[in-house]
Amino acid sequence: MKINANIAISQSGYIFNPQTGESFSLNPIGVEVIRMLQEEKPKETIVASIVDRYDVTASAFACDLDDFVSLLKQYEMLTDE
Amino acid sequence: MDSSKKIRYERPLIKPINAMMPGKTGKDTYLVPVLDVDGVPVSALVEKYGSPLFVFSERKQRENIQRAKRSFTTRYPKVHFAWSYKTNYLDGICKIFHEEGSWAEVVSGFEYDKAIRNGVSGNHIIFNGPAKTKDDLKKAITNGSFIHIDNMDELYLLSDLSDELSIKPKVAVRVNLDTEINQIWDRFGFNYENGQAWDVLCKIVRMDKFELKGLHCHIGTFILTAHAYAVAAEKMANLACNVKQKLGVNIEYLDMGGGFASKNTLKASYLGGADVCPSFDEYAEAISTAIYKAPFKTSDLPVLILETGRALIDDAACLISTVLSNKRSSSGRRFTIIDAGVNMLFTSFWYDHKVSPAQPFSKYYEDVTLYGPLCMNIDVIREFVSLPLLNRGDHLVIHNVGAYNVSQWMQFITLRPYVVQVSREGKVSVLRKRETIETIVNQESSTTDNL
Amino acid sequence: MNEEIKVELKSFVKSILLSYAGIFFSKSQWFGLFLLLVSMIYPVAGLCGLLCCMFVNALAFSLSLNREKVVSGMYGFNAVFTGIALGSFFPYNSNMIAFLFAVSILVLFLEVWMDDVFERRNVPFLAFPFLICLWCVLLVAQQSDDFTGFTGLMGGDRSILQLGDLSLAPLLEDGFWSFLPTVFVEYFKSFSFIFFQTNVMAGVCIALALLFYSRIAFSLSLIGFIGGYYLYDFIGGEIYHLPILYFGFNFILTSIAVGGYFIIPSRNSYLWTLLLIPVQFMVILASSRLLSYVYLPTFSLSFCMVSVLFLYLLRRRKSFTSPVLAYYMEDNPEATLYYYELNKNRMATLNYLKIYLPFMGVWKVSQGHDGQYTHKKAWKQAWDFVVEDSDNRQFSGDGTHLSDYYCYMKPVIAPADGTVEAVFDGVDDNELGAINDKQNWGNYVVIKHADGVYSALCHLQKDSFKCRVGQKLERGEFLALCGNSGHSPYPHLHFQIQTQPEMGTQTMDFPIATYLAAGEVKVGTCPQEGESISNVESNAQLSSYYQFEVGDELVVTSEKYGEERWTVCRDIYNYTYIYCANKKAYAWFENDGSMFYFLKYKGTKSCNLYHFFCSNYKVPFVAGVWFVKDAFPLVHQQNGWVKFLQDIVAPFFSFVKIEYKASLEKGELRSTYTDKVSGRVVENVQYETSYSKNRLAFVSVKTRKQSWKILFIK
Repeated sequence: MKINANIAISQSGYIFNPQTGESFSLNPIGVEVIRMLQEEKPKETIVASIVDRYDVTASAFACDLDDFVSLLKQYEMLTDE
Repeated sequence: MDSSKKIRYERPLIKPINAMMPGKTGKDTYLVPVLDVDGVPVSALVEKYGSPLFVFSERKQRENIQRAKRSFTTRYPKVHFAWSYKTNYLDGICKIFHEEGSWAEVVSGFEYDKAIRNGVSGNHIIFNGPAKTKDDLKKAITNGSFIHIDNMDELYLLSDLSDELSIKPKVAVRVNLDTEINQIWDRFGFNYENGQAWDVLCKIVRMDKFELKGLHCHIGTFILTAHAYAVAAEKMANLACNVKQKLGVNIEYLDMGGGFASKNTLKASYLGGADVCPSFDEYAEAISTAIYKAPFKTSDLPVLILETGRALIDDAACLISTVLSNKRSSSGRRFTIIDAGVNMLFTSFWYDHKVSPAQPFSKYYEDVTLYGPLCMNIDVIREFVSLPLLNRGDHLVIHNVGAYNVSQWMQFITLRPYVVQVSREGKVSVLRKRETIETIVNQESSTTDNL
Repeated sequence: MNEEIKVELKSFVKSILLSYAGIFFSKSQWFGLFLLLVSMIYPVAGLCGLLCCMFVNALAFSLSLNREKVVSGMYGFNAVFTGIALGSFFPYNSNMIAFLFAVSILVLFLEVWMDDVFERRNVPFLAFPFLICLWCVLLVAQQSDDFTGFTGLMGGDRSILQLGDLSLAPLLEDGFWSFLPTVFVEYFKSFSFIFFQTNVMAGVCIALALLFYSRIAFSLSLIGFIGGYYLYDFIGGEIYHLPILYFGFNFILTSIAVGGYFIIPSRNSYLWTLLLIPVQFMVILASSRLLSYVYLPTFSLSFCMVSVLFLYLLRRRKSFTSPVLAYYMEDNPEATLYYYELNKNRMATLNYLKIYLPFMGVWKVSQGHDGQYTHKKAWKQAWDFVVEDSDNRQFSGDGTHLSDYYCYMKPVIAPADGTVEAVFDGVDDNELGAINDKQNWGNYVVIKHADGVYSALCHLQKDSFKCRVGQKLERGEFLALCGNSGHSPYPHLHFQIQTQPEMGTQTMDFPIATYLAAGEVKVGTCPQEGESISNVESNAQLSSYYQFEVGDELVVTSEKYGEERWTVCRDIYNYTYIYCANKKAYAWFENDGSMFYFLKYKGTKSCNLYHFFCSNYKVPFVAGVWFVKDAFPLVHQQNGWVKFLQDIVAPFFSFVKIEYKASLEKGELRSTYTDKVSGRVVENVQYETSYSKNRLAFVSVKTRKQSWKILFIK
């Protein structure tokens, strides 16, 4: 998975997708995950990193991560790879 | 890192920013986390009694009835409240109302018996309803209860019983009337405008088999305008005066029934329920002013009886529920499934209940549809509600559930849960135990048992 | 025919016995009989007294004088004295008999005339007729040679005790009683001198009988005599050559009359008893000197004069504080005192116009009579009312708006029937916390309920009046809305009763007829600051059980006392009572439409009627759940020794309390009768009155030892 390079992400969690012209807002943890995706980290690393610092189980987060990624796909923010 | 130093988790959220008309959810809802009920932490309640869980507040219940009494008794000299058992017939709830001086209003033999078991004396029970059996009526007549006649068949049945028991039943006539709002419940009682009610009253006086004590009307349910009661009260008061003048019978009481609105938001409503619900003062002002207009002598003013149910108990209870899972619809809409469905929250068919999370949350919200645990398509608690991000295992508090849910719920798919009450001193007691499989199976028998 | 004669005879006998009893102001025929027997110790004198009395009373009956007065012995006791005097001074011959009849008629004339003259000034004529007749007789007798003189008594007479060989004769000798201190010897002799006897034994008998009849009368007699005796000693009375024997009884009789009979016994009345002793003394010495010029004794002149003058003074006072004149005399001074004490509170509703609370629902008295803020001096008897919630706050929410206040704009209603006297409108409501002193009372209405009784309601809301000046009002009728005008920083209702129609004139102490305070029905009391009160809702059902009409007959039965037939009657004072023929018991009651209560019970306690009296002592016809308290008069104290002690100290304090408490629960009346001595419960009886089919069904009684049921058969 790779985030489309054209996506503009601000520090405060706002995203602008020039391809579709749509704007989005992210919560802090969403910002973290997107950053890690931009760095093309594998899924396991992302899960480990989050579980380490947040009060959540690996399975719960993995579920949410899948959901998040499918949304990103729906909003056309991922490049096909 | 150990978990105590870990940051509170919420799932990653990406939300499109839309500059468009406000959604179905209306204005921004300013939600506040509800961490406790009357001082008892939600988490402690769930730990002891499980989830879902109905929690009633004694303090709020008493505050409601005291406020209602204060609004009415300072405006009208003789007022009685009769607790409507069908709204919530749990003994623990009913007994508190009776302690605060309420009579009992029942609509079936079952409710009647419950009232008697709660120690209510026969002459403090009002028996309404279109389906009173012969045995029910016999009991009511013998105990001196007030029977509100709904139809002619009932009238003749009462007349026969009066002969059989050699007692004159104490009765009132149920009147339906046009109160200038949409609801005209002409299914119940006798109509005022077409003269049906007057004919029945004449008949009752002529037959001389009854003690005609009062007039009863119940103009609808969830009435959002106090003016409707003013219209009804004026017509009822005038009817009472006519009965006195032309038939020579002194009407001792006017029962204006129930129907006051509560703070719930009706499904079709744009404004939140708490904003449009009239206060007890408004209803009291409307009713008392209307009765005073009629030509009663001050010493002959009839007693005012109110069968208020919902307005007294709805906001005194909440339902604690737990998030079971989250999913997404085909269009990307978030669905959250909680463990309380329409089987136990029947009133979600009529209201958009206010829902609050029971743990702290961030400012990030999501548009969500709340579903119950049943595998039925109709099992929707909230179609559209804007809620903070909820995780599996998070708790929700659904507000204003005190009326009708605990009397109308179904034992369907899931067993019915605990109903508890927080007392004025903050102690929790059980009003109704959770059902177990024995509760159900004990009522059953099968052909194979008898082999 | 026989019945009629029997009744007449009974009345005649009663009049005789009460004539004797009346000497000590008693109504007891037994006491009278006893005194009659004591007077017969010297049969001739005693017989003369009796004859005189019989003749006077017979005359009074036949002349159709007021029958009640004759039967009460009013015309007889002067005759008794006169007869005994005659029999003591004159030898037994035909002259004496003739005089007897003559003087009897004179006594009657004087009594009837004095009754009228004295009664017009509301004072009794006491023994004046006797005094005048006695002097008359003595003046006549002085001219006869047979006359042995006033001081030579009992000339040819012999005491009955000396007849035969009765060994009781020595009792008449002074020597027998020498073990007693002199003061007591003289005390008893003084008693006997009332019958013109000089022996201690008669005095002892009379004194004991007096003690039995009334402890208060007895103590007063002691106090009066001992006071007089020591004063006599102190001033060296012997120099006046007047033995105390001849006037000592004045102190006794005056003390009883002034200390406890005509006046309710109290600390003050006892004080006056002592104060009047030197006064009496002076009168005795002066009058005996004056009368000695015509050889007449002063005898009971001092008693009559001092008592009458003192009572006359008391009647002319402007305010009636202690000592209080007794308006109705019960059987003895103790009973009079007990009923007086009790009825001060109980009878408030009978005497006052009935005024109720001027609002609906439960309000709180935020300032009462003599309140610390504004209810002072001439305006001290007023009330301020507000509405509070269960957290004791007068407003909801923040209380920043007038409309947050619960009592704001609530209806104010007429507290009793009347006419609107004055209405003042047009004053705006103040902002919260502000006061308008220019129009102190704000918008107000004054109502006239009766001459000299007006009520005023103030601080009402502008333009909310629905009443006009001159309008006739029914109790409970809407007047206006509660506002915040005038001297009112926060919404409240000001209510006062005043004697004049102008707003702001002097208030007066007036009780509220009935109201409910924390579940207790309070009758005829003033609401106190801090009380949460409301009007009572009447209970027509309860009221229907207590409709007793004169002529009604009830039949009741119980395992303990059997069957009794009761009749409802009315007496000459217009009081209704239930009479139990079987046990000859009376229970006076009152039903004023809002309450049923008993006033008095007379007769045996072993009777169903007595328990009905105790269990239904006070029943207010109030709906809902309530309780009421009351007290029984201490005459019903059952333990003899306790009552004896209580009677003696009654004018000063009571250590006995007999309490009544009743409550209505589930349509039944639960009541208790509790007898407390110095706070300790010595007797507790519990009752439950049940009703059915519009009348009383039964009363179940439970004492500490037994329980039984009284059934009403009707």
